[in-house]
Amino acid sequence: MILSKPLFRKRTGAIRIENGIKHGNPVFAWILILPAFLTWLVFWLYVNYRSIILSFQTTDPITNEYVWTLQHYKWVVESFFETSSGSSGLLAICLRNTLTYFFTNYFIIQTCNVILAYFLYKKIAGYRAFRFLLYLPNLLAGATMATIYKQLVAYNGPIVDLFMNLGWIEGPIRPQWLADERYAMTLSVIYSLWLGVGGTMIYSLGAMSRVPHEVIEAAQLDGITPFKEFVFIIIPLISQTLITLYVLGVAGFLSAGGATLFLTAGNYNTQTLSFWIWWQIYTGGSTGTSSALGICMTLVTLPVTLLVRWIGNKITPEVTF
Amino acid sequence: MARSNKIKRTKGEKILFTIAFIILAIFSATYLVAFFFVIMNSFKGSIEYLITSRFQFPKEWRWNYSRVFTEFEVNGSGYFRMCFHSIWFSLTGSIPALLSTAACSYAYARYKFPGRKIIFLINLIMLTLSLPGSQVAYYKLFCDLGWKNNIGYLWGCFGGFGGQFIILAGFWKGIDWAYAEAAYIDGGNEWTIFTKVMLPQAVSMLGVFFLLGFINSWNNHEFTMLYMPKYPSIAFGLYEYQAKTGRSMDTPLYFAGLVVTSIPSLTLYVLFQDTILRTVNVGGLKG
Repeated sequence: MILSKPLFRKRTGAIRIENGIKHGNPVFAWILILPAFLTWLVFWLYVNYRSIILSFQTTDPITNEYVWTLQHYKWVVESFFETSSGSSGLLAICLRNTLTYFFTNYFIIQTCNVILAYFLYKKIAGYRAFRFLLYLPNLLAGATMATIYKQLVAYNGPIVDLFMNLGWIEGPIRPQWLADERYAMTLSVIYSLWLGVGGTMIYSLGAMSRVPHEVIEAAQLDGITPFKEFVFIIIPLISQTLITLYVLGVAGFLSAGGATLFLTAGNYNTQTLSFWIWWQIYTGGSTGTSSALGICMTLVTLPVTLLVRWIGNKITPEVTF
Repeated sequence: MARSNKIKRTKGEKILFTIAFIILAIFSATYLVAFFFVIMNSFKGSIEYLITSRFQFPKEWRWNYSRVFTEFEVNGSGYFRMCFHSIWFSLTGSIPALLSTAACSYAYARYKFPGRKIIFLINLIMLTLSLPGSQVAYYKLFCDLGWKNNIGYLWGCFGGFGGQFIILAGFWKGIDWAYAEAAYIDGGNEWTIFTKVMLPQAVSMLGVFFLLGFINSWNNHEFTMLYMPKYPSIAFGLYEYQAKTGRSMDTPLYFAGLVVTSIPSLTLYVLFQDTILRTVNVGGLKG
C-alpha cells in the first residue's frame, strides 16, 4: 500500500518521462483528444449556452421573433408556491417527489448497496447467485420490471388478493394504488427501493475486490470483528470510490427520479423535476420554462456538489494499492 | 501456499451472516418470483390471463413466442426490424463513445501538453455539474440540424469524458512505459504505440465498458423515443406497444416479448460477470 506519490524521473534519448507522463509532441496528444473535445464543445458547451439563452427568450406571437424576457423564471418561481385554489404548485410537487427519490436512492439504497456488497465480498453462502440476481434488474429494459411490478400491484393482482385475504383491505372495491394520488408516489418509491439494491453495488464490490488480501489477513490474525473490518479497513480503503459515487449522487440530486414514465406516466402527483423537463420535450411543451427550470436546478446543485466534494476530499486519505 | 477454501466464522459472525443471507435471499426471491410470473404468464392465452389467477399455471399452454416475431409491431416495424434497430443503436451508442474516451484518457494520462489541465477541468465539470435544462437545447440542436430520425445523430455518439475517463486514465497511468520504450527502439511511432502496444493491453477493460454500454443502450428507450421514433428499438417498442394498446393489450404476448428481449443482455452478463466485476473500479475525483 502506497500512501504517498513516489517521484521518479527517467530519460530515454529525446523522450523525457516524469511520473510516467511523456513530455513533448502535443500535436499527437491533441489529435487523440480532438473527437472528445469537439463533442464536448458542441454537445455540452454550446448546448448549455443555448439553454441559458432559451431560458431568457420567448417568441413574440405577432412578429414571431425572439424577444428577451424573464417570464420563464417568473413562472418557475410561481410554480413552486401554492396556487390560488390553495393546492401545492406543480413544481412544488415535483420538487417534493424529487427529494423523496433522492433521499431514497442516495441514503437508503446506496448505503444498503455498500453493506450488502461487503457480505458478497466476504463470500456469504450463495454469493455468486446473489451477485447475479441482485444486478438482474439493471440488465433489463425499464419496461420489463415496471410492467411486472404494475401487474403485481394491480387491482386484480396477487398483492391486492393477498391483502384482501388477510383482511387488510375491505372490499368490495379493489384499490388501484398506482392510479390513486394518495398511494401512487409511495408505490413508485417502493419500486425504486425494490430494484435499487444491486444497482451501484457492482462498483462497491469491484472496489472491495481490489483491497489487498494481506491487509485483511493481518487484521484477522489480530482477531478483528467483521464490523470493525468493514468500518476501519474496507471503508477507508474504498473511500475514493465511495466519495466518487456520493459526489456523483449529489451532483444529480435535483435530477433524481424513478420509473415515473412506466409506472404512472407522471399522473397522480408523481412527476419529478427531471421528468417534467423530459415530458416537456417529448410533448413539445415550452422550451423556455424547461430551460429556466434546469438553470435554477443547476444553480442550487452546484454549490452543494462542490461542498460535498470538498468535504469528501478533506476526510478521506489519498490511498493507492 | 494454497489458501483454505473453508471460511471459519465465529458465533457472532455466523448470526450476522445468517441475517444478511436472509435479507439477500428475500430480495433475490422477489426478483425470481417476478420472473417466474412473467415466464409462466407468457404461456397463457390472453383471455385466460384475464380471467384466471395470475399465479396459476396455464390450463392450456400456448407458444406465444413465435407470435412475438410475427405479430409484435410498433410504428410499422416488426420485431426483427426493431431488433436490428436495437443492435444498431447499441453498437453506435457504445463504440464511438468508448474509442474517443480511450483516446482522450490515454492522451491525458501519458502526455504533458498545453491544455492538459483544461481537459481534467472539463472532466471534473462534467462529473460534478448537472445541467438537466440542457436536454431541451440538445433536442432543439438535433432538430435544427435535421438529425431527428437521421443518421446524423451519430455525431452526438462520441463521448470522451465522465466516469469512464477516470477509470481509463487510471489504467493508462498504471501501464509500464517500458513497453512503449521498446516499441520506440523498434522504430514505432506514437500512433503505433497507442494502437498496437497500449490499446491491446486495455482490451479486457474496454470490452467490459463495451458490454455495459451495449446493455445500457439495448435497454434505453428514451433515446429512440425522442430522437429516432421512426426507427423504434425493442426497448421503446415494448413501451409503445403497451402505451398504444392500453387495456386491450395482449399481455401474454407482451410478456413473451419481454422475455425474448431480455435474453441478449442476460446472456452477456452471465458470460462476463466475473470479468466485469474484476474490471469495474471507480477511482477518485482528485485527478
